[in-house]
Amino acid sequence: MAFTDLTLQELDKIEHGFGTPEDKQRAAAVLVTQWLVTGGLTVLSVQGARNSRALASEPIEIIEQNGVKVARVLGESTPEAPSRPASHANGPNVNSTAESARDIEHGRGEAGEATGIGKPRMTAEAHALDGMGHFTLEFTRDLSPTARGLVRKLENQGWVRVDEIAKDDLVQISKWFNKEVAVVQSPYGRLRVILGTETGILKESIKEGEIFVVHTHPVMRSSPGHFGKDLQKAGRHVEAVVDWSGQVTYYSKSGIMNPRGADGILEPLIGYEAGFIDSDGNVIGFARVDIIDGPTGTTIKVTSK
Amino acid sequence: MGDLENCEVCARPVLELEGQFEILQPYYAESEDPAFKLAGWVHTLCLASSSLGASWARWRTQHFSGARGYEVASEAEGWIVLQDRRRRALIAFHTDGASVAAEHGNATIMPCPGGGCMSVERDAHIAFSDREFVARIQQELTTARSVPLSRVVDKLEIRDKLQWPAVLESGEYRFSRQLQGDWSPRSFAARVHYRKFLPEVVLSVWNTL
Repeated sequence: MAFTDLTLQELDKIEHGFGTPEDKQRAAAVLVTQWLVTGGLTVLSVQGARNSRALASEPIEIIEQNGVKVARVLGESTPEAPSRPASHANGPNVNSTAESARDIEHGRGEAGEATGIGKPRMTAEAHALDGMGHFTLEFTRDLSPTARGLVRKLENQGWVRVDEIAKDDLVQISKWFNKEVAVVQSPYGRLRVILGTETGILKESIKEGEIFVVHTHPVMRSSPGHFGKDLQKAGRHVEAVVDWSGQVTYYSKSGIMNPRGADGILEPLIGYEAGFIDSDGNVIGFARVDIIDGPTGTTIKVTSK
Repeated sequence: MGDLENCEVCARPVLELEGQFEILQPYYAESEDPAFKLAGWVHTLCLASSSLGASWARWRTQHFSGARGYEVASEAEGWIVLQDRRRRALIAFHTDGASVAAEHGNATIMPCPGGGCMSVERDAHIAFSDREFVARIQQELTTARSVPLSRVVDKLEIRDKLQWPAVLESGEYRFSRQLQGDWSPRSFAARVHYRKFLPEVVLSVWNTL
């Protein structure tokens, strides 16, 4: 059996593209698998992927190990059956080989590589920080079409520009990544969704002049203590936090607007309509954000819609 | 100075370099505890030097291992390493409050004394009140295509706040045509490249993910 020019070119791309050596090896292994499948073999895994480039010039043999057909360089020992990445529970999708290779080559986002071979992730688990919820999310079942598109873009570059975004989509996106997510607005009125870290939104992710409109808290129940830093940094304009139950808590420099329940937990603010969230629960941003330069720094003036 | 968060311990600016700073969220903490007052941004070195760092280490370890689904992978040399095998991610907390997180992606690791150095790359938007400084950075980004990270560290006077200064030696801001569109007289934006340090005990878990 011989590699085609096309296969060798793909291997070259993987070898010289971005990605960790492990990721490159995995992508190369998948490519080799596809090549073997095309040759008429049905169930294969590739052994010796640590040097898959060398396969190009080596004779390959197929052996059966623990009931699994394995390709290896002729004469090479196979210490253990290859373990299957968790994402392959339903079998490897060999048709996506080229896409996987491209993902690695182009350095797609970290979350997308959680599958182990660079394919976009199709399931995710989320844990509310207050221990009140554990979620298993499926990409097509649990994310709206809009949220799916945003997730893939966030995987790519960590932010995405939007005209509006449903607060429930924000919650699902935050759960998907198990990270904080924020919507910020520039003085030009543009909204950006920014993917934070597991511990918060980086200040350096925010462009000069952008202000927070809404951000998420990965908890199922919000309490006033969660807003200590938010209140310190708040301006005169009202902004909001959406927790993982979907509840919106409004606050400004003046304090938290939502009522507290008997147990101290914040309750929904009934009847309040913020200028930056429409009646359908879509975050639409402020009507106008003005940055006013002054002798002591900049002042932000916000006008609601 | 810079339009950055200030450290809750020393009040000096915090440059958000992974492994060099911590975000202490109020929702990790017990609000009656004296350590709660540190909620916010802190230099890792400041937290590790503070007597209150241990409380934050305990709270964060509890939250990530209990509520957030991470499993304890290793405990040694003061570090407790938590892993999420499904996401191929880890987060480690030292008993003094320091933390380091890593997620499999495009990062590369090279050996460093005592562990490994992992590459980090992301967009950075940084604003300063000193417009002359910003202009010089923008000029250098445009002409030399990169600016040493140390230039901004020194401008902020936080070199002594770096936990692992050696790993930043080759760090730099690199010109990005896309990010140039975000420049203003008081801010620049660039791709920041640097390395973060993974102690040996953390690196050994990383290698199994």
